[in-house]
Parts: sequence; C-alpha cells; structure tokens
Amino acid sequence: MGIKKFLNTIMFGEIMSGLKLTFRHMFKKAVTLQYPHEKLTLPDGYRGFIVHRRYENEQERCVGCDLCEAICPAKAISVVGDIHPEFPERRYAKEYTLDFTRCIFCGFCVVACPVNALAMTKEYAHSSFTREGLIYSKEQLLSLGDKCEQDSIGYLKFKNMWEAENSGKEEGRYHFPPIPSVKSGG
Amino acid sequence: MEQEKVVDKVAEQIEETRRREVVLSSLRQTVLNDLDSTIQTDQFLLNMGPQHPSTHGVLRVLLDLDGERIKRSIPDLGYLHRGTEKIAEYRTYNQIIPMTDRLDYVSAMANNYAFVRAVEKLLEIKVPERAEYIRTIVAEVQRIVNHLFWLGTQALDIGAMSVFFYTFREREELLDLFEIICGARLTSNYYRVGGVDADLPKEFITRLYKFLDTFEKNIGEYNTLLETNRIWLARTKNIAVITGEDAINFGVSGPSLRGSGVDYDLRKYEPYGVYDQVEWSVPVGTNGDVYDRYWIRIEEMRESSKIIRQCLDRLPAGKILTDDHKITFPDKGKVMHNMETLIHHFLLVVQGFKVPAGDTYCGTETPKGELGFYIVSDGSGKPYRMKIRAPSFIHIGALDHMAKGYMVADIVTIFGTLDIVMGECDR
Ligand code: SF4
Ligand code: SF4
Repeated sequence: MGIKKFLNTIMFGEIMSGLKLTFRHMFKKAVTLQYPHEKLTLPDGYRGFIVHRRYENEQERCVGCDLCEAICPAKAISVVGDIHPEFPERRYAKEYTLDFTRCIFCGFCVVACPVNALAMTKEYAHSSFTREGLIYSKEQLLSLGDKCEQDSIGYLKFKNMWEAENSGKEEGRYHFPPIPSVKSGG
Repeated sequence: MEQEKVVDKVAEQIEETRRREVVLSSLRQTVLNDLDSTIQTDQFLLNMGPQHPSTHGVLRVLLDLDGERIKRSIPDLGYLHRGTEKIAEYRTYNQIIPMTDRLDYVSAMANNYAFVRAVEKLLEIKVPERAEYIRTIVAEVQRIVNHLFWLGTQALDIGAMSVFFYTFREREELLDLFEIICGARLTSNYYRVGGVDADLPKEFITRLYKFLDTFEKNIGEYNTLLETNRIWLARTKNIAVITGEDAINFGVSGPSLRGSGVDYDLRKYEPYGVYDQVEWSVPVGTNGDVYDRYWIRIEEMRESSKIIRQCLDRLPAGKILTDDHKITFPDKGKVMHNMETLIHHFLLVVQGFKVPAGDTYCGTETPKGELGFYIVSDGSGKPYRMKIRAPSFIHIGALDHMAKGYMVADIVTIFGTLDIVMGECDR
C-alpha cells in the first residue's frame, strides 16, 4: 500500500487518470452544434416572439379588449380599442404596439387573451439596429403570425388552448360576424 | 504717501506668509515623522471588480492586503439592483412569478417555488398531489442544474478547465428538459399558485430517466478530475474555514452551512412538497472548508437524483392545478363559451386573486440556501410589502470573516464556495 501510494505520488497518478479521461473524450461524438448551419429543434411550448392570429376567413382575431395590456408584468403592450369603422357591432384594436425591448417573454398575454388572438412562436433570432425596430405594430405582428402559423398552433395545443376554440360548439361562443372580404380587418 | 502705505502693506503680507510657511513646514515635518513610524509600506488596497470574471455578476470587493494576505475584504453591493421588492408592490401575485425568475437566474425554478409556497401559505390552499410530485421533481432537477453550474465555474476559477465542459454538457441536457415543460431555459415561469403551469410530457419523463441512468457515471468523471487531484486539494483543503457556530451566527444556510457540520436542511426538518415521502439523506461535512462544501454539493446531486427517481416512479395521476378558480385562470374553452366565466376571467386578469390580509414568512431550501419570502398582504390582489431573504446576500456577510488571513489568490475560491449570484444579492 505504501509503495503504491508512493508510486502514485511520483508518477502523478491522479493527474494521469484525469488526462486519460479527457483523452478518451476526443473520440466521442461532439455534443455541440455549429449554430447558423445546424439548429436545435425547439419544443412546442417554446416561448419565442409573440404574434397575432387570424380566423380562418383572414379576419383578425383581436378585439382590443386590453386584457393583455393589463396582465403584462413588463408593461410591454399598449392597446387602443375602438369600434370597427365598417362593422359597428364589432370592436377592434385601433392601435396595438408590442415593445419587444421590454417584453420578458413570460407568456401571460397569451393566457389572458379571451379570443386566442395571441400566440408564441419559435422565432427567436429577430434583431434590430434601433430600438424602434423592435417595437412591433399590429400589422407587423399579423404578418409574422401568417409566417409562423404552425408554430402558434403548436404552442396553443401545448397549452391546452387549441381544443377550446375548436370544440365545435358554436352556440354561445363569441362568434364575431365574419367579414369574408377584409384582409387585415383594420 | 498712498504708495508707501501700499508697499508697507505688501511687505507685511510677505513677512506674514513667510512666517506661516515656517510654521507649516515644521508641522509637516512632524506629521511626516509620525507617518513614517506608523505606515506599513507593504500594505495596500486592491479594488477587485465590479468587472471581474470570477465575481459571478457585478460585485466589487475592496481588499485590504498585507503583502499577499487578506486583512479585510469589504464587499460593495448594489450594481445589479433592480428594485424587485418595490416593483412587486405594484404587481399582482401572478405577475410577480416571472420576476422571481430573475432573482437567482441560475436556479429560476427554485425561486418560483419559494414564492408560490409563500403565497399558498397566505391563501391556505392545498395543491393536488400530482402537482406536488412534479414540483419536487422540477425543484430537484433545478438543484442538479445549479450544482453542475457551480462545480463547473468553481473548477474553472481555480484552474481546472475540463470539468466546466463536462458539467455544462449535462446541464444543457437538463435545460433542454426545462425548455420542453416551460418553454425557456432560464426564465422558467413554471410554478403557479396552486400547482404548475404544464404537465410533464412523455418525452420529458423518458429523457429524465435516461439522464439519471448515466448521471452517476458522469459524477464519477468529475471526481476523476478533481477528487484526488493534488492541485485541487491544495487549493481547497483548509481554505475559507468557518466553524459551525460562526456559520449559524452569520445566518449562512444551505450547503455552505452543512459543510461546517451543521445538519440543517429545510427539506428534512420542515418538509414540504413530497420530501417526507421519499428516502434520502442530508450530507453533512466536518471541516467547514472549501473541499467539504464541494463534497457536499457532489453528494447533494446524488441525493437529488435519488429523489427524482423515486418521485418519477410514483408519479400519481391527477390534476396539476388546484380546482379553486378564485385563484387559477379558468379553462379557455369555458372562457370562450360562457359569459360568467369570461367576466371572472376579466376580473382575475385585471385585479388578480385576492389574498386574505395578514403576513407570513416562508422559507424554502433552494440550491443556494434558505430563500425566504416575507409577504404582507392587505387583502387586495397585490402584496402590500414583499421582502426577500436572499441566501446570497446573507452569505456575502460572512465573506470578510471567511477570507481573513488567506492569500489573495484564494479570494476567487472563497467567492465561489459561497455560491453567490448577484442577481439575488442585489435584487
Ligand atoms: S410575454 Fe409577458 S412581458 Fe411579453 S408582452 Fe406578453 S405578457 Fe408582456
Ligand atoms: S390581443 Fe387578445 S387580450 Fe390583447 S387586446 Fe386583443 S383580444 Fe384583447
């Protein structure tokens, strides 16, 4: 035992075994990704950029109810609701801005929205040279939503909100009069 | 006549100045002599930080050095102050949850847990059993994540680089698991008052089992690199020793306290979650030095993986959020189809749920120590006052005591061993 310990000390035994371990790792598969060329597959619940959604008939969902503004812990959203100029039985968001420089991507606004007008996506690599570039208007959010429709559906499904709007029960649902010809609704 | 007077006056002034100068110079001489006898030329103040890679955040420490020995170390806090406690007075209880993510940003889940437990204590509600299990699993996963992060950075600070790569490899896997359940790696926002936000998907459970199967081997890897390494031993044995009594007096908690031989763990002695239903033990050190605290954290990772495995095996079916819709948001389907529920949803969003008037303190064993929330409620939907007992802040109070007499090269080790995160310290 004494000899073994002595040999271990003069031969740097423990350092050798450490080096052996790191050496062995040279032949293992790399765990890193070469980012811009390879990308991670993100889970459905990923909380990326927030988008606005439309009904199947292209009509925008948001009714300008201010709930997302009320729940936002970072005060990133501001909504000005108004009566729709063409369809007086319907409300809409006259102005809607989402300040992504303030947003902390908590996902509460999606929970709060009573008509599922908001959803989060797997978009994360949006950047801008100016602060104004990250303050999104409703139009920008809608077009981003058109781009990432699948992501937003996946998110709502993960959060058990998708079945809600597709449960088939029409009566009693706040079914806003469809406006087939209007694209942006605003 | 006039001119003569002026000349006289000037001459007088010059004379006066000269006289004063003589007095002054003699004074200066005595002062200098005095200084010569007291000054120690080998002592100086070293300003470490606020931008220093090993201070784990933005911490400035003023080191009073005598040669290479530390005589005094004065931490200067507040660079990361965001006023979380004050902001919380203007937010509903739900809105505060994502803010607690940003306290100790290395273990956000643990902060969420500590906060919701305090609110639940005020509300006196019961959480469904499945939610309790999920909470315990996630909290223990977070403990492993935190300790892996700690081990990697501590080894890196001391000079062992490979450990950092290996611990981060495992940490990534666990953070990916977090991403599956809550959608983000660090800013989790997962716990809710009355339960958790999302159920554990199948993928999460299988991947977690797989992780646990290889984790023991991975801990072995870290130990191969460190446990008997003579450099590691020289840098950690008998460094920053604090006795159990001193540690208690300074309010130190968590692994730093247990390293000094005090058997104190809130999970064991004030059990919450399902910690009293699974088998595990509290590792306790003896010497109270950096090495013992390292050993404790390694053992805690082993214990945590034991807890997780038992909880996963027993995971019961059921709800993940309490049924009490005074507190939790109603089902989206009902919100869309039922007027009363919609009105209720509006009220919950705008005003938050009401918490009965009163105050409470609730401490939770987070990976860093005891994280406590003291909440005073006036019966409204927002806390009247919220105070956070952050373990990092308390631990930094013991820094001076622990660093006294050690070499200046050890100060980095001493920061590391306390496991300080400035986001929590400055709040
Ligand atoms: S994700 Fe959170 S912070 Fe961002 S806009 Fe929605 S509620 Fe506000
Ligand atoms: S996005 Fe939803 S919550 Fe926000 S104003 Fe529009 S309808 Fe209301």
